[in-house]
Amino acid sequence: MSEHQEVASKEKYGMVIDLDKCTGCGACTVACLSENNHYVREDESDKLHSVTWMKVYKVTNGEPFPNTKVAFIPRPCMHCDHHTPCVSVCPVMATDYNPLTGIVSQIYTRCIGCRYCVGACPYHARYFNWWDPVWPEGMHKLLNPDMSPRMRGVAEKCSFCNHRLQKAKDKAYVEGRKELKDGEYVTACAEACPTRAITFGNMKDPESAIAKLIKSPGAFRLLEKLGTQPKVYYLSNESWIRELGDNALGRKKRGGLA
Amino acid sequence: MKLDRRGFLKFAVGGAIGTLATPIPWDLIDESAKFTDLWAPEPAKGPSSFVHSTCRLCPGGCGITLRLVEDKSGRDEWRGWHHKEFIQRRRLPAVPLRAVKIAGNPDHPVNRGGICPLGAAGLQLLYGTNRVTTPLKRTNPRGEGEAAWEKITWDEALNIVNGKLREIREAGNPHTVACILDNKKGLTAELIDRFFRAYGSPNVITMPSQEDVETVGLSLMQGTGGPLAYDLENSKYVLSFGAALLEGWGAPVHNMMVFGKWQEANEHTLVQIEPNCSITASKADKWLAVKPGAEAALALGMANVIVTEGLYDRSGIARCQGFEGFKALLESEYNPRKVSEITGIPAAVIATTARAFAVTKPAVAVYGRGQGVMSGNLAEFMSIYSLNALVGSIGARGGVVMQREVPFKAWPALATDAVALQGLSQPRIDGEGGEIKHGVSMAHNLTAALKSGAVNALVVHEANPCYALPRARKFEEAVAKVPFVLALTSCMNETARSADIVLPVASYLERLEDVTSAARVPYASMSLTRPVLANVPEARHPGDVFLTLARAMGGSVGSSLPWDNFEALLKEKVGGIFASRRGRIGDQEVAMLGSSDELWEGLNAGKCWYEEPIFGGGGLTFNPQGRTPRLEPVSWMKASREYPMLLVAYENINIANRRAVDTLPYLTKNIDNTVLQKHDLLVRVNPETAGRLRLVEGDAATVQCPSGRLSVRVHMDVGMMPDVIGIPLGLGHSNDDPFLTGKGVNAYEVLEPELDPVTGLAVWWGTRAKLIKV
Repeated sequence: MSEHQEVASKEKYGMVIDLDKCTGCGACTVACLSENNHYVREDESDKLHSVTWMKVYKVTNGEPFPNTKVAFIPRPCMHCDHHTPCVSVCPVMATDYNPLTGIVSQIYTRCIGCRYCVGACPYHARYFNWWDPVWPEGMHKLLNPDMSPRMRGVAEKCSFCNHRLQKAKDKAYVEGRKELKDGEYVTACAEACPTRAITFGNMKDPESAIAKLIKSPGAFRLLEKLGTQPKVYYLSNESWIRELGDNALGRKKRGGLA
Repeated sequence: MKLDRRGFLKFAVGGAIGTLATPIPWDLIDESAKFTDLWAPEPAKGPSSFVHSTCRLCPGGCGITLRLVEDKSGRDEWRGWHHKEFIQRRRLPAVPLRAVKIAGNPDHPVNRGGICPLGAAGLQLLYGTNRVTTPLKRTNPRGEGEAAWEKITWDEALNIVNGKLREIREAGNPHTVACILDNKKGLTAELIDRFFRAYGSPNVITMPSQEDVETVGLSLMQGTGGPLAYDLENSKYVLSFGAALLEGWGAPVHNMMVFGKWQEANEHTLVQIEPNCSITASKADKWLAVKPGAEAALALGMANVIVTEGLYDRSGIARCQGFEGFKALLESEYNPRKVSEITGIPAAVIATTARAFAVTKPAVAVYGRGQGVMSGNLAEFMSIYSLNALVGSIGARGGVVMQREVPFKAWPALATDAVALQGLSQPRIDGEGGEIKHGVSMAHNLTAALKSGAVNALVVHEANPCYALPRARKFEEAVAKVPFVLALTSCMNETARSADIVLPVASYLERLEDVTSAARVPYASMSLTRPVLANVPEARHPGDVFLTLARAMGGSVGSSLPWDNFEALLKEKVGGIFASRRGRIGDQEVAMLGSSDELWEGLNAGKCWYEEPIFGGGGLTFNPQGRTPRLEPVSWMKASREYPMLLVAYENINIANRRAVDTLPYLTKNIDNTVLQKHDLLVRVNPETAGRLRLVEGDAATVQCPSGRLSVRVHMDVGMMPDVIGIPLGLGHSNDDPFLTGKGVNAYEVLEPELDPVTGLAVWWGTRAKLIKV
C-alpha cells in the first residue's frame, strides 16, 4: 500500500510516555477500560484472551540479583503514520487512517472478523472478541454513552479516545473556535496517570507540550526499524530500556519481558 | 422406482454436494452465528454532568470527579418510599442518574488530577454484584456449612441488634461487646467509638497497621502520637527503608505525583532499602538489597558513620536528649563492618550512602514496610526514625512532620451511667501492651480473646478480619464461638459470611462523610464523600445506623449521641473548622469566609479544606525510658534445617489489600500472569534457588510453613533475593465474588505474628518456609 494521502491539516495527534516516570500502576489501563466500555472476564489471567487496549508491559534488564531492574512500557495503539499495517491488510476498510488527525480508526459494524489486522499489527495492539461481551447484572449502568461496546466476532483497539476529540471539537465549534487548545483533547489514560508520565496532544502544534517532548534526546519509538512511524513516543534515560524498544530476533540481549 | 443401496448412497452424496453448491449451508452458519450473538448492550444516552467527591478506598483520600449520565434504564428502583426520603434529605437530583466514570479532581491538593487503578475502578464497587442489598439474618447456625440468609427489614434487624445489646448491658456486661473497625480516622469511626464507650465497652479495636508501632514509638521519643507524615515533595534525599513509596504506601497518588516531579527536576535522590527488586527499588536512584529484617541495622550502621564522622546536625542534636547513650550504642555495636555482616551491604556502600544522606539537605529517612499494614518492632522504628534527628529533619521542610488534627468542633462530654463506668473500667480484651502500656489496638490478640469466651457480641464495621488478620483462619474459627456477630458492610465478604446479622451500609459514593488528612501527607486536609447516587436504596449510612441504635437504647447512650442524623453531626463539626480560622478551602482563606455555612457549601461542592504544613525544628529522645533501640532478630527469621527459606509477603497496587474493599474486576486485568494464573497464585523465587530445588517456571509447589501449607506455582524472578519466597497479599478470597473467589491463596493464613516484647504489638511480614516440588 502506498503512502497515506497527504492532506493539509493542522492536526496530528500523538502521545509521549515517559518511561522513567511510569511506575506501572495500571491506572491508565483502568481509566481506558472504564472510558471505552470494556467488559471483564472471570478469568483475566489468561492474557491471550484478555482485552486491554492500553496494556502495561513489564520489562527487566535481565541482570542477576541484586542488579536487577524492572521498568514498564504502557502500550496503546501506535497509530502508525506510514504503511499502517492493519489498514494495509483490512479487506473491508473497517480500519482506516484519518489523514486529518492521524488517528487510525476501527469501525466495528463493518469488521468481518477475519483477524488479518490482529496478525499484521507488530505491536499486539489489536484484539479479537472471541466471546459475547457480558456485564453482570447492574454493571451495565457504568457504560459510557459516548462509546459503543463491541460485539462478538470483531477486532478492536485503542482509538486515542476519538470520541473525546469529537466532544472537544463540538465544544470549540460552539465557542466559535476552529482550533483546539493544547490539553483540551486528551485521552483517558493521559488524564488518569498519577505520575503524569503520559502527554497527549497535537504534534503539529509547535507550542504544544508534546511537540517539545518528542524532540528530547531520550525519545524513541517501538520497532522503529519497521518504518511504521508510530505516533506514540517513549522517553527514557536508561539505555537498556531504549534498546528494548527496538528488539529484534537474533540480537543477543539479556533484558526482555519480565 | 426401486432404490438399492448404491442408488441411495449416490443420492445422498450427490444431494450433499449439491447442497454445498447452494448458499443454504453458508447462510445457515451465518444466520446461526448472528442469531446466537447476544450483541452488545447499547449504553443509554443522556446529558452528562460532573460532580466532585472524595475517594475513601484507601487512606490516600484523593479528590475525584464523577461523570454522571441520566439513567433511563432503571426508573423502577426510584419508586421506593425510602428512596424518596433519601432524595429529600440528601438533596439528590430528581432525575435518576448513573455514574459512568471516575477521574481525579485536578483541584484537589492531594492528587492534583491523578488517580490510581483502584480509585478509577470504584464504580465497580458501587454497581458490584457482591453488594449487600437488604439487611440479612442468618437462618442456620454459624459454623455449620454455607450461610443461609433471610432478607429482613431494617426495623427487624435493628430490633434484634438493639435487643441483644440491651440484654448484655442489662446483665451488667457491656464490656463483653467488642467492635472491630478498619481504623479510627474520620467522624464515623469516632462516632462508633463514642457509641461503645457510652454503652460501656472499651473494646473498639482497629485492624493492624504500621501506624500502631509508630504511635507507640513517637509517643516515647517525641511525646506525640503522630500521625507521622513526610514532606517528600521538598526532600532532596529520601532513604526509604522498605516503604513501597510507588506501590501504594501512604497516599499512593500523592506519592506518585511527587515522584513524577522528582523525575522532572532531576535533583532528588531516592534510595530504596529492601531485600527484593520491587518497583520502588527499580525506580529508585539506588537500591540496597539488604537481608530481610536487617533494614534497621543498616540504619544504625549509617547513623554510626554520620556520628563518628561528625556529619550530624549539631543544632538539631542540641534539641535532642540521650544522644550520648545512642552514640555509645552505635560505637560499640554498629560499626560499618559489623553492620555489613548483618545486612549484606558492603561497608563502603553504607558509608557513602550515609555521607550523602547527611550532607544533602533536606534529607529524610522513611520507616515502612510495603503499603503499611505489615509492621516491624519498636526498635526498628526507633533506629530508622533516629536518622531524621541526626540530619536535623524533624519538623523541618523536606523532613518529617506531625500531621495536625483537623480542627473539628470538639465532641461534647460523654454521658456515662454506672453500667458504662463499670464496663469502661474493665481491661481491654486485646490487652494493654507489653513492657510498655499503651492504648494502641492489638487485633492479633483477638483470636485468643474470642476463644476464651470473653466476648458476647462482636460488631464488625467495614473491616474484614476473617480474611485479613494474621492467621486468618484461626480467627474465623474463634468468631464461630461468639454468641452474636453483627457485620456492617456494603459488599459481602468473609467476615459478613460469619455473622448473624448483616447490615448493608452505603458505599462511599452513596454517603456523606468526611475524609480527613491523606496518610503521610505533611498537611491536614478534609474533603467530603458525597451521596452522588443511590444504587442500593436500602443501604444506610453507618453513622445513621449507630445514631438510630443510640436513640433506641436511650439512657446514657442516647444522650451521648443526640444528633438526628450524621449530616447534622458533620455540619456541627465543620463549624469548628470555621471557628478555628485555619487553612483554606479551594483558593479561599477560611478566615475570609463570612459564615460556617459558606464553608459547608464549599465542602458540599466537592472542595477540599487544607492548610499549609507548619515546620519548626523539633527534637527527640534517642533513648526514652533508657531504651536505646536494641535490635533482636524476630524468631522466625532465624534459619532452621526444617524451614530453610523465608516467606516474605509483598503488596501489589492492583490487589486491594488495605481496607474493606476487595480487588475490583477491572484490576484483575492488571494482575500479571506471573502473579496469578487461572486459580493458581505464583510465588516469586530466584532462579538460582528454584534450580537448586529442581523447579522451573510455572511448576506446582507447596509452601510449607510452621503454621500451615499453601499450594502455589513458581515464578522465577531474577530480582528476588536467593532463599526468599515472595508471596502477594490480598488473593485467595472466598467471598462469592465471581471475579475473585478461589483465585490464589490467602497468605495471611500462614503469616506468623511474633509479639514484640516491648510493645506487645505483632511483628508480621513473613515466616519461615520450605518450598517443596509437587
